[in-house]
Amino acid sequence: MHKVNLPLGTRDEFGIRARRKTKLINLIEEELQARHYMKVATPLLEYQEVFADFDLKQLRTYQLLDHNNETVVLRPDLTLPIARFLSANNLKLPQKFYYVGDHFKIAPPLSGRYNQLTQAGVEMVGYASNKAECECLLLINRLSHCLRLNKIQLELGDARFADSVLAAITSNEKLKTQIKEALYQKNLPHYQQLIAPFASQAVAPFLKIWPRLFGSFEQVYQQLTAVELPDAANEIFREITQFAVWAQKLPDQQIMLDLSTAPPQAYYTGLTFKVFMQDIPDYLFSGGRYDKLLKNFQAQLEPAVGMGIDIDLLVDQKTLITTDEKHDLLFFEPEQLAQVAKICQTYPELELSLADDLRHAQRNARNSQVKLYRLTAKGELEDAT
Amino acid sequence: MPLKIALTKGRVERQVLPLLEAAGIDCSLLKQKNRKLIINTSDGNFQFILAKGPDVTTYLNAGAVDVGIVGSDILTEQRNQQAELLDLQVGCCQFVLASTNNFNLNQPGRKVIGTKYPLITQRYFETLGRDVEIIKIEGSVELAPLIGLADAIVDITETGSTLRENNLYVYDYLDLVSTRLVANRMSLKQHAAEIFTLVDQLAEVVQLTTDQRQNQGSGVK
Repeated sequence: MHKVNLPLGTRDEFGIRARRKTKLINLIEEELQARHYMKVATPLLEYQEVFADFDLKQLRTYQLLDHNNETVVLRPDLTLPIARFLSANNLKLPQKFYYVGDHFKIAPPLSGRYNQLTQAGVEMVGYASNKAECECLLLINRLSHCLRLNKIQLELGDARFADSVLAAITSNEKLKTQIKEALYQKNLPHYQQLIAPFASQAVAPFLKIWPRLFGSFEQVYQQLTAVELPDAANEIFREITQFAVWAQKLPDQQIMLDLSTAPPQAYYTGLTFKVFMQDIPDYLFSGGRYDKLLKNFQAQLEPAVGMGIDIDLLVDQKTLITTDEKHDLLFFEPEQLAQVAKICQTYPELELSLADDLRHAQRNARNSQVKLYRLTAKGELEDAT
Repeated sequence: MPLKIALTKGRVERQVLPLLEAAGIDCSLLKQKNRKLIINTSDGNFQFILAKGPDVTTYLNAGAVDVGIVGSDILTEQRNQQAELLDLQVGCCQFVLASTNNFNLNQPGRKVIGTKYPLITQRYFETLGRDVEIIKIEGSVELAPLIGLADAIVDITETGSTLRENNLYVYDYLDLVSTRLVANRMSLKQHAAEIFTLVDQLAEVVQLTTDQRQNQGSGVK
């Protein structure tokens, strides 16, 4: 007997969850195609160096050797393959792309986390204007509406904010990194030790409240107006505020700010946005501006804005409506094939009963609690339950 | 919805209960829990889930609880990724390198170290620039050098009495350990006000307790 168990961190998808997932992906793809995004499907396998700048956050990749003994990996991310794709294919820019696919990261064993997850996403490459961020914010609002996500919380931040504050208070690179790590990890006991030497500086009141600078736009704005910020940080905050004011005008979403969290990846260079909902364990949407995305692939950099959509997390939300799985059955004999073809066109919801004889077909229908029909000599439906 | 708090049962639970009470949380049902593992406070604001230390971090990482109260030893060993908000300054102890009286770390050869904490042990020896073989042991780590399984151990000690009773000597002191309050990152976004109120109330109690301890230590009545 062969093994029947799956490799750790994987699962079979079937039944209602698989149908929900297909429906969700179709809905997102239809929306993105209607908004003129070009689909890109990159392979599951890439050379390891494509992900050289990707922070796996304590996870690992599945690695294999190709015919030249070079290491290839099951892609842990879907944005960097798009960057590789753009450099390799000399596409005309600017251009908007979308993708849907699986990515693979090995979580700690027996932690209950899956290693293969599905993500959709968009990449707007070659757009320097802040209208690209606006397009993303509009898309989030539109998709949330289509997916019937109620009361989403759209959280804005900026990948440059922490560096702009720290550059103003110290030139000690090691200390900057330590403060950023403690802040991002929300290791408050350690953070408080690290900021203690700055207690007499004008920025001290800000440093004190920094780890708690997240929450509703109004709340964070109010907290920040009471403290002094370095000029560069102030300018970045002004930009975030501008986006927040614009996004506030879109319906059915609450605008949040977070000035104390790490950008999703090191390659982010500007505004970041994430979407969450109460009592959902992770972000549903996550993205931002990354103008140096192509730096490892070509000499010429291209401005870019993009975001990922966590398909698996969305599938598990109850807001998606799925149709009833039960269908009435049609019993037929092989010589009735031509009539069956016509009936199936008229009644596409009917499911063909593949039972050998009527008695078995009736039993199957009773077990499934559905009706059974058969064809009369004239080719009409007749109740045979 | 109550704030879900995973509390490490046993010693941590006993040491943290007075702090929670002093912070104004009604712990009467928690005290009369018998064999119950999930206990709601009478005002419905908190739900305590009693768990073993390593499981507290598992629940936190999965988002099954909002807050965890657990030792920093476990947080370090399990590479905590959640928000560590407060040092409760109870359950204080320290990692030590200990062995029998004939142990010499500087003797040539690759040492074998027994421990419950392979990551912390590995990091410690990396800082010394030494390569060691680590053996993971689940309980009574002190046995390892006594029965010849390891040359030395890295373990936690509070008073050192277990080590002394087993004729083991401390060769080096590593990180200090104490009980921490940790929040799930998404819960912190979703329940920021409730979690920070709890943190602030507990921080006040911790500060007061520390001040009292220092005053007693310096003879001030």
